Formats: sequence, C-alpha cells, structure tokens
Amino acid sequence: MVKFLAFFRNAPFFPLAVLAAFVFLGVFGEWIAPHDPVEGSLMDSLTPPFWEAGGKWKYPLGTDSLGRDILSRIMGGAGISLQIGILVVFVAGLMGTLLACLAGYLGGAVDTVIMRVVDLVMSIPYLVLAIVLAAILGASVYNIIIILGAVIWTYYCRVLRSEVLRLRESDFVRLAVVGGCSKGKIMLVHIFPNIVNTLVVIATLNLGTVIIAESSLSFLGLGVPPPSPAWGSMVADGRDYVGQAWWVSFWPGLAIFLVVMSFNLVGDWLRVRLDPKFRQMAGGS
Amino acid sequence: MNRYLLRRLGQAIITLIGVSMVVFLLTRMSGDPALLMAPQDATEKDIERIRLELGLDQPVHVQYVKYAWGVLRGDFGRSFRFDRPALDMFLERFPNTLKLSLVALFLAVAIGIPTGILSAVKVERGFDRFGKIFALFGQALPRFWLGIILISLFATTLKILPTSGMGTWKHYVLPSVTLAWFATASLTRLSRSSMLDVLDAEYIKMARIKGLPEFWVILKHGFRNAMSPVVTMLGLQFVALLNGAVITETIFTWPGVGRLIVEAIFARDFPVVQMCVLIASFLFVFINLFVDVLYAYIDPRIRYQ
Repeated sequence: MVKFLAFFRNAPFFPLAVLAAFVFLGVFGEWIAPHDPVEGSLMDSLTPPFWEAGGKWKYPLGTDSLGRDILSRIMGGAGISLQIGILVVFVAGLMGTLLACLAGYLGGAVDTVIMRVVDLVMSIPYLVLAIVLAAILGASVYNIIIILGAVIWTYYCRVLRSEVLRLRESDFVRLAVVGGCSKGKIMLVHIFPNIVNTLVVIATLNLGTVIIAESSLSFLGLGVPPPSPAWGSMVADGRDYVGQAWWVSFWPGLAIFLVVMSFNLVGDWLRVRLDPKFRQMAGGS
Repeated sequence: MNRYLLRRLGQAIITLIGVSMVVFLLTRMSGDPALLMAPQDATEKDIERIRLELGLDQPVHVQYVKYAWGVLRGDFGRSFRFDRPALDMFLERFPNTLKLSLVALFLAVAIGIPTGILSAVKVERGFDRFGKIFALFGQALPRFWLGIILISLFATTLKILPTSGMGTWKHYVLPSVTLAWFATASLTRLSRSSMLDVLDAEYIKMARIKGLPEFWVILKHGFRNAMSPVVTMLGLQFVALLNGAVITETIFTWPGVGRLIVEAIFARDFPVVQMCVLIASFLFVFINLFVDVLYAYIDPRIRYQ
C-alpha cells in the first residue's frame, strides 16, 4: 500500500482529478443527470446557460435545438467517449503488442510481412481511412471500436518492435535461449514484462488521440449514431446555431479538450515516472 | 548508396501496391457498383448490362489488374455522381487544398519553431511556461471545435472575417489557423526537445568557452543542429495537414480535396473516394521516401543500418 501511494508522489493533481470526475460521470452519469440526455422538450429549445438573459436554473448549461439539456448530454457522453477510448486502446494495444513481439523477436519473413502491413496502414491518412471504413461498415459504437483499433495498432507495433529488438540482444534473453526456453515463453515471460512500461505510457498518451479521432468521426456524422450524446456530434449539432447559441457547441468541445489534455498530462508524467528514456510519440488529428 | 535507394524504392512500391489492393477491395466490399450506378427505375436486365460494361462478371483479381492498369495510365474511373473522370474532379480541387495547406505550414513554421527554440533557451523559466501551455493546448484542442469557436468569435460576433468559402485573403485567416493549430504545437514541442538535446552538447560548451556571444551560440551552433529532426517532421507534418484538411474544409466549406472526400463518401461515389485515398497515400509514401533518401545522402550512417 505504501509502495502504491509512493508511486503517486509528484503526480499531477489537476489532470488526475479531471479524469476521476469524468470517469465518475461516465459510470454514474445516467443516474445523476438532471434530465434525460436523449429526450428534450421542444418548448425549451436553445435555452441559454443560467447566467445569460432567458437562461433557467433548470438547464444550467443551456439546451440544444431539440430542447435537450446539455449538461445531461455531456454526462451521458462521458461514458461513450471513455468506453470507446479505452476499448480502442485495449484492442489496438493488444494487437500491436502481439505483432510487435512476433516481428521483433522472430525477425526474418514474419518481421518483413508485419512491418510492410504497418507501413501500408500508416501510409493512408488515418482519418481518411477511418471515414472510408465507417462509410462502408456503417456507423455504430461497435464498428468505431473496430475501425479505430484497426488503424491505430500500427503505432503500438512500431514503437514496441524497436523495444523488442533491443531486448532480444540483451544478456538475460540470450541466457534464456541457452537455458532451452521456448520462443513463446521467452516472449511472454522475458520480453513482454519489459515492454509493459512503454506500453502503458503509449496507451495513456494514445487515449487522448483516440478520443479526438472518435469525436472527429462523430462530428462528421460517421461515428456514434444519433441520438446518442457523443461529444463530437454535439459539437456538430451546434454548427448551425453558431451565431445565436454558442453554448450548444462550446460545452461538449470543452469536455473533449479537458479530457484529452488530462490524458496527455498524465501520459507525460507516466513517461518520466516509468521510462525516462522514452521520447516523443506522434499522433493526433 | 544505390543499393539503399533501390531497397527503399522497392519498399515504397510494395506499399503502394498494397494500398491500391486494400482500397480496391474496400470499395468492392461496400456493395455492387452496378446497383449504385443504375437509375432508380432500372430493371434487372439494365443492371446486368451495366455489370457487363464494368467488367464485374470477371473474377476479382482480373478486375484488380484492370483497375491497376488503368491507374498507371492515369485513368481512375468515372464519378458515379457526375459521370466525369474522377481525376478531373480531384485536379480541380487540389490547388485549393494545396494553397490552404501551404499557408498553414507557413504559419506553423513561423510560430512553432521560434516558440520551441525560445522555450528551450529559457527552459523552466518565463517563456518556457508559455511555450509548454501553448503546446499542450495545441495538442488537446479538437480541430473541429476550434474552427467553430473561431467562427463564432470572429465571424458572427465581431463580424470582421467571413464564415466560410474562398475568395479574398480574409477567407484564408480562420481556416489556415484552424488547420495549422495542431502542427504548430507539434513543431513547438519537437523543436524545444531537439534544441534542449543540442544545448547539452560539448560543442555548445566549447562555443561558450571561447567567448562567442550567447546569441550566436544559439543561432549558429544550436539552431542549425537542432533543425535536422524538425525538417524530417516537416515533410510528415505537411501530409498531416492534408489529413486535417478533411475536418477544416468541412467546417469552412472550403472547396478542396478534403471536402471532396467527405462529399463523395456521403454520396457513395466510390471511384472518387478511391482516387483521393490513393493519391493521399502516394504523396505520403513519396514524401517519406524523399526525406529518407535525402537523409541517407547527408548522413552515411543510415545507409548501413
């Protein structure tokens, strides 16, 4: 326990608090939201936030064009964004790690084939690839996870493969080979535990990227289908009312910004904490 | 050098063949093109005729070879929607995207690199705090949200800039800022960390010891050495800008390739989608290849890896 707490010394307080708050909303949002996130009352459409003229306390952050409470929708959207983010990172991380171990450790033809596939996927602009896939497979939460997972695993594979290559030449792995350890066991017992730290760092930094990618798809109308309160589609809802109702787009965008920034800050902290050698990782929309 | 060049060229060609296969198969998966092309009241017989005309009765690999042969001769198929060559539609729109991306790239370089360098020089002090917050904001602000906020501030509230479309220089301001935002932040981050590495080097200490003014130490010995990873990134950033154009052009209804892709996807106009994806990948692969080869030319160590 003491060891566990010591890990969090120097942890960035603000981003962790923001993430904790959004995770809480994601899990309990349905029960504590003041209104139904999907049903609105047309009588109250485009009500401004409470401090503006015409605003009501009933709708603290205002309502959208269908009279739906924006606060409740943001609470509902937290669950969607975080779930998609975490599942995509899980799928991509699993696939990327597995293939990185195979490519890096086995080398030869396996390595060549896997890395050519990585090059192939990376050479198509990822947002373009994702919208093409979304248009073909159709928009659903399930499909978004598959689509983004299928695009993003390449980052994991590329970064982790170079780690595996480095580990393969290390003394303890050579010793295991001499000791008659099987290839599968070497990868699982000797190599995998040594790339976990890097994996955790990439995954945290990647969560922000995935959330932006998911909301970009939803913004274009190719992501989470309506009427689900996805943050990206909420921003898109406000596009037509920019002049008269700034709040419709503003709040969900702020939520995305806060969550993504927090994941990036926590990722930066973890990077220094877990692996001082680890440098930059590219990504973003 | 020649062997290295050949190997890299071979890899690039294999990647492109792979991309063309993936794109071809993906669009085939999306449904029968004959059904998409046929008018609403077409009979079964009409559809069969279109299918024969398009060669859809042949095996998939024959169809692919035909398609690939067409692409090599610059024939990317015809748009279902407008019944004209897809390539013409692309070429009409491409200059607009290029103009916007170049303005954005200029902004990103002009703001990002000096900010990063100054941050590194003043590390953990005044300007660096600003630089770090700037980089953080740039990487976390969703582009589509930034665009809408900019429109609501400068176009609908202050009414000093147009909301959308293309025309005078004023039309460039909001879209190029939106597009450049992320790249600027990445360049700030990268030039900061690269400059920090360089400032640690022995030759910087040497330059200081021999009494060179700090300004020249930074500019001549620091800046020039710190720029090599930044230049590599620039090529990739430029392609990333084309990627970002999809969102930016949609928000500002900019008549470029990004919007063409989105429009074509919603209209299920797959030949156009196919071509845009292919050309985007061509650009990516060749810019990468060019940067790598340039690097190998400058730095012999890379060739023997």
